[in-house]
Amino acid sequence: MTEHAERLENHSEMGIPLTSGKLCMWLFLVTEVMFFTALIGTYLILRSSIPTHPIISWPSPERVHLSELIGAINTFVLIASSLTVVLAHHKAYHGDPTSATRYIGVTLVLGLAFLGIKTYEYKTKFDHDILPGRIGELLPGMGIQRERQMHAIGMQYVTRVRLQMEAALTREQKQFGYVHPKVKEAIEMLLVDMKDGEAGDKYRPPLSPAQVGERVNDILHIAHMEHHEIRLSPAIPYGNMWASCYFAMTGFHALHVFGGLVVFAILLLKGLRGQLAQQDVGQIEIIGLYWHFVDIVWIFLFPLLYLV
Amino acid sequence: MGKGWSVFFGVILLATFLLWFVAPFYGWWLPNAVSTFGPDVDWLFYLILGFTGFFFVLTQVVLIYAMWRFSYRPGEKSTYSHGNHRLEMIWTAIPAVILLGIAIVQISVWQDIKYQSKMPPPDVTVSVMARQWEWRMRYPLETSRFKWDQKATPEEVRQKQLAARAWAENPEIDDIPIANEIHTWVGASTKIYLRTQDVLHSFTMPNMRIKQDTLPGKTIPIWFKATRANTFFDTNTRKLRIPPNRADAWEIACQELCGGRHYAMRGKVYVHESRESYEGWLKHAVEQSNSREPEKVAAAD
Amino acid sequence: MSISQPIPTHDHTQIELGFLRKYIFSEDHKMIGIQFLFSGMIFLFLGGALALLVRLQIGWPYGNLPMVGNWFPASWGGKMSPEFYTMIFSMHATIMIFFVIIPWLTGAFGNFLIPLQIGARDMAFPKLNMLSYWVMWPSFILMLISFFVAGGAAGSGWTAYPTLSSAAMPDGMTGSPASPNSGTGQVLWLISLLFAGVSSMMGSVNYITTIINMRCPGMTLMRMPMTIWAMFVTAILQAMALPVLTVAIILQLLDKTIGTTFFLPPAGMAFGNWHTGPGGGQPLLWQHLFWFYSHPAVYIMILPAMGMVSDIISTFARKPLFGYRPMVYAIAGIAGLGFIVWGHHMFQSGMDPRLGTGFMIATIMIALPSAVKTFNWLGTIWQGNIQYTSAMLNALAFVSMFVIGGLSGIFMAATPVDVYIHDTYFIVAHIHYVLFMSTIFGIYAGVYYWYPKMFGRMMSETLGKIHFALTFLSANATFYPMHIIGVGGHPRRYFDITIYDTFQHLQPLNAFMTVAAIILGFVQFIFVANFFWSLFFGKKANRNPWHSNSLEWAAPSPPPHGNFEGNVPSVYRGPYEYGHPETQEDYLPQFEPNGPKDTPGGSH
Ligand code: HEA
Ligand code: HEA
Ligand code: CUA
Ligand SMILES: [Cu+2]
Repeated sequence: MTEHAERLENHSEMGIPLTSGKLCMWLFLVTEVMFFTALIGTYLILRSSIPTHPIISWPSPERVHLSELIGAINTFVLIASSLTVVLAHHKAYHGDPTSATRYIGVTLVLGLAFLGIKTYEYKTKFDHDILPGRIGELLPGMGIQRERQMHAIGMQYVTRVRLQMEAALTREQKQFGYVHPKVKEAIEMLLVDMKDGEAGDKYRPPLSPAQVGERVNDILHIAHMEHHEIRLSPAIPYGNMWASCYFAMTGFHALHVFGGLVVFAILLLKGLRGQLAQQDVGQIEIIGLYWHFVDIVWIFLFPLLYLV
Repeated sequence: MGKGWSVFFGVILLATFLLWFVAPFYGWWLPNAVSTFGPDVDWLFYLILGFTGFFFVLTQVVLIYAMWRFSYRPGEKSTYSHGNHRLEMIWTAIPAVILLGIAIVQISVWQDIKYQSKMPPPDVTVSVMARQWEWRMRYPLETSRFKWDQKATPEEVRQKQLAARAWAENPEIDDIPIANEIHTWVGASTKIYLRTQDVLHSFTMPNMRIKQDTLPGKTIPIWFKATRANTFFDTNTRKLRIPPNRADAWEIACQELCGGRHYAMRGKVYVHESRESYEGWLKHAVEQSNSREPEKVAAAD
Repeated sequence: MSISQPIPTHDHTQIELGFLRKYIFSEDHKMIGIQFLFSGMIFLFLGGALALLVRLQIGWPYGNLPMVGNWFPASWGGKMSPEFYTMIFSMHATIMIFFVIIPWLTGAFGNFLIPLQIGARDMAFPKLNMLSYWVMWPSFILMLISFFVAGGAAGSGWTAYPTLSSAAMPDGMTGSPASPNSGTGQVLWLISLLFAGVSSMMGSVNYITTIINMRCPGMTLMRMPMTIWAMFVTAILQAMALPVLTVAIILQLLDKTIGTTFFLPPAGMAFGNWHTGPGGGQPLLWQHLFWFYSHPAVYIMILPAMGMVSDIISTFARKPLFGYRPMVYAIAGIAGLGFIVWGHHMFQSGMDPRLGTGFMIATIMIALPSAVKTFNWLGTIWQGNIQYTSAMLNALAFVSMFVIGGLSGIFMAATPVDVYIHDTYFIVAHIHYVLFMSTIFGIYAGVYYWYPKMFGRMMSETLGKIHFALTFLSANATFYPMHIIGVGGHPRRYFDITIYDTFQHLQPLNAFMTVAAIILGFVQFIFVANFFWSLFFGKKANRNPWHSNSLEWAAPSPPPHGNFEGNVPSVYRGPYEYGHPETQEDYLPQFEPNGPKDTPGGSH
């Protein structure tokens, strides 16, 4: 059966001088180019439509705890892995399966390193609760797990700042014996406004998380003016949009990296068993093409997300 | 059946063709056009109808004739030909010219209807907030608040436009809220700021030949100028005259799917006979809205 | 040069495959094509039944629906609810487009015909091909399940515009605040189309590779039948456009489930993402992404039919295709222009009107390659010797109806006229003239024509002609008046127009069209009866029952595994040598080594 399939694979002399496998990969990459073009285009359009107000604007990298250095390191790692794939193919092509296997191994390790660094980066976002559907960031040392179980999307921010404000009024009062009166007043007012139900003689709906976020930022501003330190989770303007784009783009890229690594793992196993044969050269070349593509996508993503 | 098929095609296609001539007699046709866009849009419609009608007849007649003339003759061979270069050129070039022509004549009308830079000074400004499933209009207390002069400097125009937009986006306490009714008078250029509070809607006035989707988060201006009246406000009875016949009952329809009762987002268009009639109605509306509770007015937005 | 793939016959005929491998998990392109054909037929009936429900409501608003009324909850009193109405026309369109037309054209005919017509033994990647059929099943199943979830199936039109479709579902809820149908039903709709997209993508990559690399000796590009050209260009369109839809679907899915705000407007809107502060999403972005796919998709839904019709018309006119090269260029032209006109669906959407002008000009120019095609078809039958088989009648109907559907497109492409026409029944008329009256006629033509090759038996010509005549008649009666009510302003997607003074006088036409639609629906049973009857009792077909020229007729009917006995054939000329003056017969197959060689494929 395999032999049969082999023959079918053989293209007739009417075809172009490319094996069907390689042609197929090129075509697949065309679809991938369109995929990432759409994704990146979405990001650019959304981002360019956001006002460039000094306060309410697209969040800067620091604001969302994004480290350019880590991104740059990752870029380097990925480029290096592209190089090792080329070397692996080179070695395999010249009939040196042992070296080829070694280079495949290195590629695999570099790819894993990339994903590892990415995971670390994701973790910092999780720690600060900078995720789609969230608002504001979590202060260090606060368990998000329990909170998430208890509250619906978005509302957890409201609950969180309420707790933080109540703590500021009671515990900090006790601890330091002092909350700046202006800040105190603002906090108390917000706490009242956050209660739904009767206020005076009319029914009032509770503030939405977004409104709460605005007010919290106001309080932080007041505190800052008064040189008073207060522990409240600020709301990040457009933080949600940022997180949406960031996770969608890097997430799909990471999935592609992962897909490539699976193939490398299979090839590595083959190599370690000494089964890397002449016909696998084509395979390595094809996966190499894919890998370069994944690399190029990252080269676009990195400046767009970290630097611009 | 042989040639019979040619007849079969012919009869059905002829029926479809004739339908275009029969339909207007039953009133199944363009509703009365009562805005300045009416003649422009309808003219372009007839222009395209003419050209497409011509090509419809041309292609179908050739088809039916060929089906008749060249139906199967056993033992004979068809004329052996792979095509004709000259013919190919001709039937590419002629439609190309026609099509380009059709495209070019559209441009100026389109600009008149939709380009914001081409919108004339408004006499009436209305803010419309769409929501599932109704239109909520707000009229400013003073009709001519956002009016500018034809001769105003661009900067003045810009300022007025900004003010109008700001008003459209932020209700004022003395605005007059009305649901599902557009009021204006004959010859008044009416500017409508469209917004939506929930999903997409499409503000359509078939008789005015105007249609514009509303977009969440955006304020979109449209304008029109009515050329006929269908109502006046009787200051004695304090009543609007209801348009007597169906053809004068101009309506607003929502033409972008917006949920279950999309079909029921119906509104009415009242074009008063004169500015006085309109002002009379407006005064009446103010009195009515003053008798309502203030917070309801604010909540109307 | 001639013999390139010497595979002995016994290799294929003697491999005994179990039932499962042969009929279910088959890797044979012919079986996969037939699988697509059958599943498409099932869904045609489902989609058709939904269409008839739509028509019943519009024909007699609030009517007590006979029979079907009993399926509705008692609280509806045997009548349809408006939400139910939005759901059924949305699902009608979704099913017709994604489960009938596309799978039939590219899945069924693409699979069956590509290897046969280029002289290959199978697709380049048989396993991938099998997979592309089987990924359709999760798609089918999810879509069917969605009818039964809380709130019902998706109900925001087949276009699924946010924010109606995408308003976020609050945690732990199955519904959306915007519409009951935008809850779980919409999520399943999105996931289902994701699978359908993956299927098409696998198919298209496979088709392109096969056509480029697996042609038999002598089959130069300019000797390929139009069907292959059309499939080739269609596959390219799919490969380029589908990923964009995939992205759009994924983003809407994220919006609905995890709280992103790609298509949701700033906070403070009722259905904006209320929780997340300045949202900054753009509802209009969905429309751009959606139409960037879906406009090329409408050409995906007609180009293959155009290709097949070209072959069929040439065959039964017993005359070479008029202007082969211009026909090829026209297909490429339609496809190319097809990528830059998506904005014509958005003239009234609030997009910058200046863009509208550009999109209008590009759109109107698309009529040019279409005109070239139309005139060349007419040129082909001119001075021909036309045999009125069922296949030919359907093909001629395609030409005639495509002109009507295409010409109505010009009205809508003209921006000022579109201001009035947009979202009226004029559009619905256009949709059905191009999709039902053109593409489905093209498909019927293809079925009648290639049935002998697929199943080794002939379909009944008598039933075929009765079916054609009644369909042509009732379909025109159903859809032609839609132009008229469209001119009258009848809005589309309306549950009931009688509450409007402006439109209520159009109601009698609605009732008329409903009657016609019911007839149209039931006439289709003739086709099905013919199809299945012929499967068992049809006359046995020989290799080349229509005396055609292209390669598939060199193979036995039905072709064995591996398609051709002995060596794959070699090709000596173009596929349209009918009525050659130097030959005795009035046809000269591509694979016939004797006779005049190298007859031109194109004009000049
Ligand atoms: C197979 C499907 C198919 C095809 C082939 C087409 C072909 C065309 N379509 Fe259509 N279209 C749809 C399917 C299709 N469409 C669908 C499904 C929708 C609705 C989507 C929705 O909203 O739900 C739609 C909607 C749609 C719109 C949006 C309308 C609106 O919502 O307001 C527009 C606007 O420009 C348009 C234009 C065109 C044009 C110009 C062509 C051209 O390609 C037609 C070209 C052909 C000819 C013109 C005829 C032959 C030519 C001649 C005989 C030559 C002489 C002619 C002249 C000189 C005029 N279509
Ligand atoms: C390929 C595409 C295709 C096909 C084939 C059809 C076929 C039909 N369509 Fe559809 N239609 C669309 C694509 C298609 N449609 C699209 C894209 C829309 C836009 C949707 C939107 O707005 O989002 C639409 C919308 C649409 C509307 C407008 C709804 C509205 O805007 O309110 C209408 C109304 O008449 C309609 C009717 C029909 C009819 C009567 C048929 C007939 O041709 C059907 C005939 C029936 C069959 C071919 C099958 C036979 C079935 C039976 C005999 C059933 C019997 C079974 C039982 C009783 C259980 N369609
Ligand atoms: Cu509002 Cu449709
Ligand atoms: Cu289109």
